[in-house]
Amino acid sequence: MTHQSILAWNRYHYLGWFAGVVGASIAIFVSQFDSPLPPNGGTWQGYTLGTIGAVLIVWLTLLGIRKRSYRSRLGTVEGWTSAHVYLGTAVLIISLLHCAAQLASLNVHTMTFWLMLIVVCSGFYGLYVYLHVPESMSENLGGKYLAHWMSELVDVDRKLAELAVSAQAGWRAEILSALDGTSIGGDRRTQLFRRDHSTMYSAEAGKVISNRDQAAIINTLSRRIPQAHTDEQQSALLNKAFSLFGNRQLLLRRIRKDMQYKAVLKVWLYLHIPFTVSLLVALFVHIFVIFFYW
Amino acid sequence: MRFLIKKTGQTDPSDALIEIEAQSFAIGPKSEHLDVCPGLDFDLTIRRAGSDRLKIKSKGGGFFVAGRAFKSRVLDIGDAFQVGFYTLHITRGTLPSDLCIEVTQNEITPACERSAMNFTQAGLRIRFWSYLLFFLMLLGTFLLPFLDTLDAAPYSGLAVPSLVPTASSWSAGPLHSAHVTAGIDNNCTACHSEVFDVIPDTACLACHDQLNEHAVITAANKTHFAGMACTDCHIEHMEPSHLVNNNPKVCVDCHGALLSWAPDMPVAGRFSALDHPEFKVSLWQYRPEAENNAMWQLVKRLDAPDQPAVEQSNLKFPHDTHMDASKMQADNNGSGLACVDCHQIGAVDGEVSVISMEKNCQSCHALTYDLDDPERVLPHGSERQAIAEMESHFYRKARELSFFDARERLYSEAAHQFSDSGCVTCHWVEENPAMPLQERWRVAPVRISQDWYPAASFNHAAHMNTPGISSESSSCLSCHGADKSHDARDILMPKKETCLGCHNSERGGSADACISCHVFHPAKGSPSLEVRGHWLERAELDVDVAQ
Repeated sequence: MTHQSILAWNRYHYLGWFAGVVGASIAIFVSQFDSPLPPNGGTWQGYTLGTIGAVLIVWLTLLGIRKRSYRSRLGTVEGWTSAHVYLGTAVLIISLLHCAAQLASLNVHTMTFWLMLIVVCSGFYGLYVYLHVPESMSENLGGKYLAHWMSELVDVDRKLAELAVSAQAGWRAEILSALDGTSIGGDRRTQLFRRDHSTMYSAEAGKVISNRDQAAIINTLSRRIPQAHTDEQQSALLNKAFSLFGNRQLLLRRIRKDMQYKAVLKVWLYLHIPFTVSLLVALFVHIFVIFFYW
Repeated sequence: MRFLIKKTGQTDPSDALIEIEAQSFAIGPKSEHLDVCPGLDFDLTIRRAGSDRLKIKSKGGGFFVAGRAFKSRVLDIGDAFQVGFYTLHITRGTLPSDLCIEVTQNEITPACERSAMNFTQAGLRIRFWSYLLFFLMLLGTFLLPFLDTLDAAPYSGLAVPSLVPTASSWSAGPLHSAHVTAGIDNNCTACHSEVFDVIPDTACLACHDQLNEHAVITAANKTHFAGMACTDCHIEHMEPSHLVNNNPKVCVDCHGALLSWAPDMPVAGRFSALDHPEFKVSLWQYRPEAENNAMWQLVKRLDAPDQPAVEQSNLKFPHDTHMDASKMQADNNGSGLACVDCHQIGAVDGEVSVISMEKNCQSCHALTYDLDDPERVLPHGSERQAIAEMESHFYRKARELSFFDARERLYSEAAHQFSDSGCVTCHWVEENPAMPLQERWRVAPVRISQDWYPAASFNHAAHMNTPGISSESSSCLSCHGADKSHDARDILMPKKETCLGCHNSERGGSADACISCHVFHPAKGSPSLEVRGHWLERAELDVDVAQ
């Protein structure tokens, strides 16, 4: 089964809906040009466009319910998502037509539009990452699951810990501290920007230093290898540790990159969902106020 | 007193056990300290605090006991603490007085298990932010403004920071500057007097109580104006402001076709050569045969080349002569009279002043009648009073001068004034020799049109080339050909083509809206306060319409 973009779902089924809804909305808007009054949200055309927009906004939020309703037979989640994208974009145009772009002042009515703009624009970003990031993720993981690379990392760490037992006290501490001080995730910024707070103990410096991208331990080992040429066993162990940390560096890069991709796929939801909730409140207040002070 | 330090996992057995004869010792990276915990970057002092107790004190770092961090702690035999990636167990040694510390390297926890890698579970979740924004929005956009509308906001009457939302945040847009005034701009209910209902006309008329309807509302035409609300044309809170609706469609909606109920109303579209009717001049028509109160009748008619309209003011006035510097000079300075020497123009409203004998003519055309007494003038406006003045003056003179024949002089001067050079200079005078002296001459009454286009407003000041009032006549003459007019009967009003030179909706010229010239609420019309009071009784009106 070939992968199909949600935009192209069912032969661009909802692109047709988008064109139909937007086309009808533009026709309704243009019909105001015959009126002595300027286009605005208070004409029958304005009320019609506002009603269409409000109904669409409420329906768009139902995607959150539909995608959790695993037993629902009301269309497929993929179809709903495709419609969500196209009709969400249509809402942006319908809202502009509804208010005739009278957005210069700041009040609860214009705020409803700006909140919707934030929701739609964050949705555009979400759509972009959902269309492009999975391919990069797959490429980064080399067609394997993350668990495979995690397992490889655990294996490398185990080998290094075993190797450390036979190492001399000086660099054994460095290896063990580098293993212990490696950090991958953390808070959201760390995940999103792939920050590396890894540390290691440096016997030379006598203190804990940064081991970002495992560079410090690899540099330390590379300096120790020539110094240990008289001790064959230690030299062999150092070479092995050097090789394992090189492998570990690549594994950690791959895992952090995957973590970053997952963060990128989620971060927009921190705007999209809370602002959708606030949009619903603003929409309710907007409609209430319009009729309260008709 | 002896400490035994046991290190597990050592390849060299000689490194596995260290004996120390002292009351205390230190572990750390410094050369004088024991390096039993490689990787530790601070000092840890271990001191005996009793037979079975130790006091652990760190300098620059910390250690952990049962997961809790400490800088200093007394521990008993059997306890353990963690420092760096080592666990140190306190046990009894081979001798009762010995205390043994077993140093064990911790298992290395895989890095991927130590840190959070799930984005949505790191920190506050989406649901938290959603709830937070929900309550903030509900409070800021609804509850606080709503309480403000009830004057029940917790901050009512207090000087609150401008960031606290008030009912003004519910305003759909800025008010027109005319409405940004005390009592309106911060008081929604000044106009929105009824919630969940449209703004009633009475809300507008509460202030605009002097306004007139578009026409005189009669029983015959009232149904055609019924149902028109102020808000049909005047919309507030628009961007840009649209309180004054200058869209020609407002007018063309009705006037774009012949109105069956007002057949005299011309069909008009936007201001262009084709869509707008030719201008009709309003003239006072003199009807000498009519009664006094009907002697003058206002008529509107076209001033077409084949049927030129004629002014019937009954005045003689050659504009060209008065503007010819070779014949007439204002101040003997070589220049002729300028238009504004007689027709003063209001600097703000652009209205042209009314011409009168006293104000504009008599400085040159003084009604003197006795060269011996040049200060003495005839009263203007009444033939009888003029003759009475002469009669009185000449008979008084005769009493003083024995040779003066008052009667002869009275008759000759009266004939001279009425027929030769006095009244007759500016007026049409009819003589009936059969009548006695007091009724022999009759000066035709004068009525000068003050507004030839009363249906349109025109600000002369705004149309002058220079700001304010120009003393030059050129800007006046560009529309009014007064310098070529020798007859007061000439109509000197510009025609539609003159206006189209600048204002033409086909070209998108300036000020081409209907209300640029025509006032919607005229000075004469049915008072809105009265008419709309009746319209509020919609039920009754609906019955009328149905009938």
